[in-house]
Amino acid sequence: MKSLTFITLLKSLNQTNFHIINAAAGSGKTYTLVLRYLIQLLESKNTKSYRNILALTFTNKAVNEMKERILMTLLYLSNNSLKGEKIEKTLCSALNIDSKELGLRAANKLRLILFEYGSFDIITLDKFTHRIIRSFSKELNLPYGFEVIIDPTALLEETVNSIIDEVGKEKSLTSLLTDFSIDKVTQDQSWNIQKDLYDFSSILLNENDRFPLADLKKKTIKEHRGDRLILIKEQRKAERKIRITADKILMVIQEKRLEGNDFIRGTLPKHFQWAKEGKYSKLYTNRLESELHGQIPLYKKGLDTFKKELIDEIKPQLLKAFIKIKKNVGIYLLIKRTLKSLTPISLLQLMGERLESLQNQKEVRLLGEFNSKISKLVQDTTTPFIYERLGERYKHYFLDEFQDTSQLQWSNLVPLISDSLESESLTGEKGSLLIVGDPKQAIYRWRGGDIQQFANLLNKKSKPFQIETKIENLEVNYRSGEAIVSFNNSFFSSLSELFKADEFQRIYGLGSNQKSQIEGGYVNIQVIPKGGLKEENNILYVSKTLDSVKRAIDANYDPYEIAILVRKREQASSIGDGLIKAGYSILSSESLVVGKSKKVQVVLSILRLFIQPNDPVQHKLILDAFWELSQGSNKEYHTFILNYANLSSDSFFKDLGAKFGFNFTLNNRRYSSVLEVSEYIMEEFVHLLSPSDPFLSAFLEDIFEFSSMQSQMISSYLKHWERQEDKLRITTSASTNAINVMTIHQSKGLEFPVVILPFLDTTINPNLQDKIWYPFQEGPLSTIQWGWVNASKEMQLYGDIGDSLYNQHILAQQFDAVNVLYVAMTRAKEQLYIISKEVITAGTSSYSYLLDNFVQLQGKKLDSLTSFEWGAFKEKKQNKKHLKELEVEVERLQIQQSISTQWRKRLVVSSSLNTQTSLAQIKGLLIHEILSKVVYADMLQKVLEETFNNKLVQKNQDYICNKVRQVIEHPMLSKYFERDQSVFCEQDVLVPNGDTLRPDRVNILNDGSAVIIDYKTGEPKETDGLQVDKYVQIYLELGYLHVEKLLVYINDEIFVKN
Amino acid sequence: MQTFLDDVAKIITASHDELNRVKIIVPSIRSISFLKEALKKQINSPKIAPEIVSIESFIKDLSGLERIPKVELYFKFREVYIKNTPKKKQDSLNQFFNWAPSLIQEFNEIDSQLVNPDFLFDFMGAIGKIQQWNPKSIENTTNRYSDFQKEIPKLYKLLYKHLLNQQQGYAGMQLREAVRNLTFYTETELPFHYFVGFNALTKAEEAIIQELLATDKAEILWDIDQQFFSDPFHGAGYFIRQYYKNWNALKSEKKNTFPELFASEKHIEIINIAKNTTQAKTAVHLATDLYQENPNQSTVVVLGDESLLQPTLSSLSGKDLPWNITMGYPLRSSSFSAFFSTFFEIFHQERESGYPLSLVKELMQIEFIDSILEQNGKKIKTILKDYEKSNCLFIPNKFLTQVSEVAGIIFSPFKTVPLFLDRMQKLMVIINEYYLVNNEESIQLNYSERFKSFWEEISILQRTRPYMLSLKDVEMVFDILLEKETLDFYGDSQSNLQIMGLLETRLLDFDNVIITNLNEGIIPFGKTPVSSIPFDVRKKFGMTTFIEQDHLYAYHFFRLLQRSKKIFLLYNSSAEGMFSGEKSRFLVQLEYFKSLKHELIFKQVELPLKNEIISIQKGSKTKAVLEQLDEMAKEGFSPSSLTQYIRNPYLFYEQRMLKVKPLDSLESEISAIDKGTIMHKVLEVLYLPFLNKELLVDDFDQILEKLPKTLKINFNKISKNNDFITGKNFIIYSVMHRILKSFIIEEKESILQGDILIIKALEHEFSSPVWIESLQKKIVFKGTVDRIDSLNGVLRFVDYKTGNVTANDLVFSDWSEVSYDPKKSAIFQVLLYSYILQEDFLHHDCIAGVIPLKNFKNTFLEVSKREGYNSKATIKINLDIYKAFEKELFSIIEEIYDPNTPFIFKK
Ligand code: SF4
Repeated sequence: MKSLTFITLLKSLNQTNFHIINAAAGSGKTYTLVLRYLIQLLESKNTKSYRNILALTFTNKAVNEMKERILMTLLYLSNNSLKGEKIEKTLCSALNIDSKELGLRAANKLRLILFEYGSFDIITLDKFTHRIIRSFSKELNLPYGFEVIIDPTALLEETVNSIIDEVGKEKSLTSLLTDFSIDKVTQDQSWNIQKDLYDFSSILLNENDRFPLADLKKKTIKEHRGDRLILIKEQRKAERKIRITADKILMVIQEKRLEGNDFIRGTLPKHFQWAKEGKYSKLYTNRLESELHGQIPLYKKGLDTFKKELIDEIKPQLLKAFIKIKKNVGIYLLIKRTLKSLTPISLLQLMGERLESLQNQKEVRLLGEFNSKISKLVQDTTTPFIYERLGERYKHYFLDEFQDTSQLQWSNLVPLISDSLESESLTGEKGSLLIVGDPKQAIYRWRGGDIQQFANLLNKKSKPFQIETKIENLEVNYRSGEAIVSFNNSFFSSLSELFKADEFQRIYGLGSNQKSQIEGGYVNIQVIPKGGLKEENNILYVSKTLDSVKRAIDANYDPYEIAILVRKREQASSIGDGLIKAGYSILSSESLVVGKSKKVQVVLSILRLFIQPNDPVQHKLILDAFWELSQGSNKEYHTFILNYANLSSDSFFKDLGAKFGFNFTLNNRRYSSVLEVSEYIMEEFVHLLSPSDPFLSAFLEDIFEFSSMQSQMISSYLKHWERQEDKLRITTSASTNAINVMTIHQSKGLEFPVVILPFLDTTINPNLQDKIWYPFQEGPLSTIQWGWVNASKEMQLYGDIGDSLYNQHILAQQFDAVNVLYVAMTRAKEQLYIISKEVITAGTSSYSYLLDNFVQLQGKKLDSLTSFEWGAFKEKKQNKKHLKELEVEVERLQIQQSISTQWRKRLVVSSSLNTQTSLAQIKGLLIHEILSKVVYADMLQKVLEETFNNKLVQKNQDYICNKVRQVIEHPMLSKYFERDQSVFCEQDVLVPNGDTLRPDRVNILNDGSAVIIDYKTGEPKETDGLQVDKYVQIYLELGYLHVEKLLVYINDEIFVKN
Repeated sequence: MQTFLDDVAKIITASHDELNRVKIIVPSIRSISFLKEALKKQINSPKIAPEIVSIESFIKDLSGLERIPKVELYFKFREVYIKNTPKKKQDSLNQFFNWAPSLIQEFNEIDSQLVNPDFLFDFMGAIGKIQQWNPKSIENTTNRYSDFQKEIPKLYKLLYKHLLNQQQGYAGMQLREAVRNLTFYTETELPFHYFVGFNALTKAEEAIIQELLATDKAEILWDIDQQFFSDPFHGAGYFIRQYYKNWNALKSEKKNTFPELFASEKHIEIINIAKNTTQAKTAVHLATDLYQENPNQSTVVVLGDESLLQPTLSSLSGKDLPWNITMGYPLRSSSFSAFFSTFFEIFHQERESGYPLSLVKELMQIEFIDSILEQNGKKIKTILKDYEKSNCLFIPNKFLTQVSEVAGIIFSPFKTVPLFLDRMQKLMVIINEYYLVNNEESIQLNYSERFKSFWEEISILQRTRPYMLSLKDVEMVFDILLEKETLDFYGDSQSNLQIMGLLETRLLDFDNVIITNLNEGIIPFGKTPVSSIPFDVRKKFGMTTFIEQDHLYAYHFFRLLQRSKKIFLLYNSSAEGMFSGEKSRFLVQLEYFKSLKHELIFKQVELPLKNEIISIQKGSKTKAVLEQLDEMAKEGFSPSSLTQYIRNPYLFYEQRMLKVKPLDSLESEISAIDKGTIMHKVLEVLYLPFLNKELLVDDFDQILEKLPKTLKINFNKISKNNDFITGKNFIIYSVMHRILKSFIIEEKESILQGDILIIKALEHEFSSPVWIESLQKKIVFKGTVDRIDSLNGVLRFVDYKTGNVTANDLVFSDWSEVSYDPKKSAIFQVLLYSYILQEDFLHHDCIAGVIPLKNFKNTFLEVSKREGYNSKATIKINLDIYKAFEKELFSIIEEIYDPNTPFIFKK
């Protein structure tokens, strides 16, 4: 890979239309993407060129940042602003136009994009897949208007539970699951199979498991039972072979009259003895194999020559037997592991079906299933059709963070892209693709990200398209000071020496070195003493971290400029606690956990009491909160709790309310939904639970979301809460001046002037829980297809496949570990503090060893007394302004919040129904309504039909019809319902700056006089006349010479009053 | 302020004296009353009001078709579908509802845009054929769909005809028919028509208005700013620009000029806020301040996401301000909706043993249920409590239905759809009557009215078209009916503090405007395809796309700002989970193309975040605590309470002294504690007949025979479920059975081998005082030994352990481990037994230990002391051991009594 300067790089643009940019950390990746996007946008003669560009990235944050940068740059260019000067030059030369023309084009595109912003397609990959799924919901047979679910936990749990619930009802399932449980008990594990099945169910959604899953899902439970028999048979066969072979060879040894201690440490006969007895676990922890291969002696030095010769004579036989046994032990163990997980495997099909039907029932869809659904769609349909559905024909593609793209995501995109990449449009325009990523920052293997995929593109092993690939390296680091860049260069090069794999060389080798742009920079490595218990080490790490923080603060850094990055959440919380105790304010993902807030816990306790009252545990939690807030003394605490905790909840709130002045009861039936109840709680306990508290506010937000999306029931919410209490965090903006504490994964894409990395002693191959699919390919076992085994050394016994799978796994884990380290170490701009642990010997098994090895290479020593430095420690330059492209003055607005549930009392809901409405009045309203529509008597039938057709059922229908008819046929009124007169029914009369009046009916007679008819359905009242008199008055004012009034009482009798 | 409606009123009153000769058509019913008020300001004497109608009712009259209610439409479509689809290919009701609503929506668009359906369907069919369907596709989903696709034109026509025959129609049909009837309409004598404040018209509406304009009997009054109109890139002016370009009637008109108000002085704040409810609260906060500053100015709070209404309402607080809410409250958020979801859930979770108790309890929490049950509500609650006490998690429905007629209506099990619907109607009548009589809040009465009408509607649908076959179907239809339905609030439309949705702001103007949820995806809605008609086809046939949709939002948004002075624009900046955190393009436009006189301010709402750890010192030994300890000493300390102290002193304090113990869980599953209780009990029952005699092989056969029944009885007692055993309980039952069986067989085997076993005591309770010199106190120890037996002449104090215990846990190296190491608590426990009981069971050879019952290895593990790396010696209980243990025991008690050692929390 050769490196290019920007300008030459741009000139090369036209040579091919498939570019890959390998963008190391801090190399100005976003700038490059924005630049490329702009070139594509501004170059095109098609004025709506943005419609043809699709840029995909991973997070909303990245999307927002990229959109903002593009729009802003366009604005600068169109305004000829100084802020856009640099990019203006680059663009002018790339597009070969002058700055005036560029400004014009930019202004034009900016307006167009904002005008048709929906076509400005820079979106997350998830949103893009979501869009495809939505457009094909009919074909995929998905419910109309389904909701997308991101976190599958609840659904998977329900899936597993629904299957377990059937035990005892369905025969084959019952024996399957009971046997599984008993099997577990035999192995001294818990009888409970829920977790095992749950862990397994995630396979349904994990892309990494899709091939085995597809095969295994095809098998019925019965077929799996058949598989089990085959496995058991083969296992016995292997066992027998081991026994016979061992027996034979032991006979040979015996025949030769060789004794155990003729061999080194007596290992060899013991080996075959153990094999014979079925003790396989320790067979291969020794060096026997090398001994038999003659690499090291098989017998003791002092052994007499005769025996030596004897042994040498049978050595080939021994070796043969050894190898045969080893092979069969491998088979035996492989089958043993496979059998262990066969039960959950055989349930995969059922779990898949359940998950599907649960989703349909709830009208939800798991985000995690989208890619496999699209994959099916891509196979079934021609790609142009997919485009047409989506609405756009994209020609130019930008893919960001390619190292995190999964195989499925990529394979779904390839046909879409190749369609435009390999063909020309009518105007002769060719499509293009730009891929940007950094294999060193691939830290999402566990969720499907495939580092190999990117590596293969980079080394041109895979060629997805018919056209040439152009690979470019961004090799200047614009983020970190010189010392940090050079430190990282040498450190990661040293690793690539250490890990011998070629892949490592390619990615971390010399070619990956970055050039620095910024002066300064400082790296400090310290270690805590070796050994020590976990708790003690914790304390040491925290205190060293505090030292580093203090050093940075003393060097004039502000707290918000400092970030402490860790791998695990509990590490974050011990660092957080330490900092808070030392008086610093922090912003940490842990300190933001909503469930840790005492106030939130109080609300939760009360909610739980709604479901299960009289629970002293919840009472005590509430009491503790009251106690803390009322600053009670320790002396009375005991009696305080004793007095209240064990009351019934009713008396508990009553008595406590009397003491602390609130009036709360669990039996306030006015509130039934979880949101209403929570607001009621917060309203009543307002002194304890201020709604301005960010935790309570976030908690309420969560309740709000849950009840508008899922359920309003308290019990459902509480279940939902259990699943996410550790996860829910408050969102804060970064504007507080506090030290950042976060995990390395969370820090991806961020940068800080000072970065501190404590706890850097993690082992490289830490996760023993990892499982690997073993493909059965030969012999009778090939029908089994897939085994599910622990990623352990044992795999090396499984033969070549096992061995290479194991090596791949180890390599992948090494990559994971080193990549995480790379991400961590490249976040720092000016100062980087690393805190690790002392080591004794050399090795590669943990971060500590890697660091120690590096320091030794520099000819230095690293121990608890000696720290290692690289670059010079300097104070922060004062008043150094970080020139952000647009500095917006953001003012902070603090609001006082309050909650009140009293609004329901104040609302008027409709004009016709209010609290005084009675059944009789509803009848009256309907009669009014019908009469207003019957202008002339002959319209009656039609009006009645319409009315009752629309109202579906009506009580009192006959009564109402009768009354209306009686009015119309009333001797005093019937003449007003005849044809050929002018009538106003419920006609408004506007009065200047006054009321709007609405008499029920006004007949205008031929002589120019008016008759006002007003219907009443209640008993006659004194005031009835007043209203009508007002109507008369207004009609006189309107210019009618004579106005008559008729009051019609519609009760049991129809009664007309003048 | 001079509003648009003021302008309109001026124009109309200036040119028409007799207002009743004028007909005014407005976009929505809501604006009618506002327009009347505006007219009143312009007249000098009373006038008969002009006819003011919404476009919807105008079209309805013109078409002669009644608008068909949503669900009825679906059912009629279902009817058409059933009649014209071979039985084998018919989708179930559930599947049908997956696609029918969106298909009907497409029909609706086809009609309202006056698309020729034949052309469109032909065209779509042609694209379909171009696609190369993969013949090997296993699931054939797409193929199946393409078969169905062919049926769509037929279904469209049949539905259209069907509805037309009944003089009904959906909105698009009404529009198409209205256009058809237009010539008849224009031939009659017409009042002068004013179309006021329109934008984004459908093709049908355009046709009608153009036709009327052409007769010179109509005028159209636009509400738009000159800036939006003349800027070719301004979304707000998009539609009106189109009309001026395309309409003959407007082409002839001289270039129209519109007011230029948008560019005038404005104070604009753009405020970013994390998430949703805080936006509602901020909006209320801002509006309150604005009102208090100047009560004469009008202020509107526009909720971009209307679901924010509830949090908005709760933060309106007690302050007595003249709020008026002009929008609907979603019925989904009402207590009635909560009731029905719980109600349906009860039936879904029903088992043979009845309804889940917890859900019934939750249902009883709902206000009106308790009320309509009156006194019987109390009765039901008592029944529920009794049931809970008797450890049942499911309650047979007969206990509930018996209580009263109303209870019968609520709690009868589901049998058939008609019977169920009947019950629902009855129930709603009862609830409705309750609210008619007792109504503190009119909102509840209105809810009940609405829900009553829902059930009526469902019943009628079912009577004529019995497509609902199960409770699930009913629930689905109910949900569809409820979907998006709101309860409209009315109030003082003249109030100076209004809360409404963006669509309700049409034609209105305010001095101060506050808008929430200015995020892409909300305002404007943006690109979200929900249609099977592709974008290109839509363009070709003049149907709307997301682009038009977004311009419509632009119109609503910018129009509202046009005349206002102070503007507050709120958006969600959180980019987590469901939220994109992307601010609306409109905000970018305000910022980038800032008018000179606009004052633009950016703000951010933050809640004060403090890192504080408050904690009081709990568990210190005050006088009251020490006194209580003395009480406890009289009562007696049990081994389990002391081992709890060893594990975690604070838990000992909390559970034993404060008596704060967790209640039994509401789950129906057997817990670990239950499991232990059951196995202890079963073993006691099984061995009891053989107390104090030598156990023979035959005895074990008897025990084994009795095992299944004994286990079952005891299991059912604990499992809180009178059901037959299923699910997890079945598994644990089977496991327990296997463990017990294997244990008994093992004992039998040992007898066969010649062992002599005599059981001396089972579940032996003891209580005995001990004088502790150092404390000068008499302390009672009490407890229960699971089993005391003699095996081959050795006396054994035995504890059964159903949880985790390994041989190693019974071995100690140093005596202090016994009282400090929680892992060795089993040793402490059994040694305490022997310490207290040794004298009662005088025996020269005596040991203690546990029998593990966690798996199938149930050999007795005896307490022993580590001697060397790989060797240990069984502890024979003698005086030395007695003394050594006593020392440890006393040290624990001393520590408990030590006032200077608080009860600390150990993890
Ligand atoms: S009583 Fe019945 S049949 Fe007679 S008019 Fe009224 S609705 Fe029609």
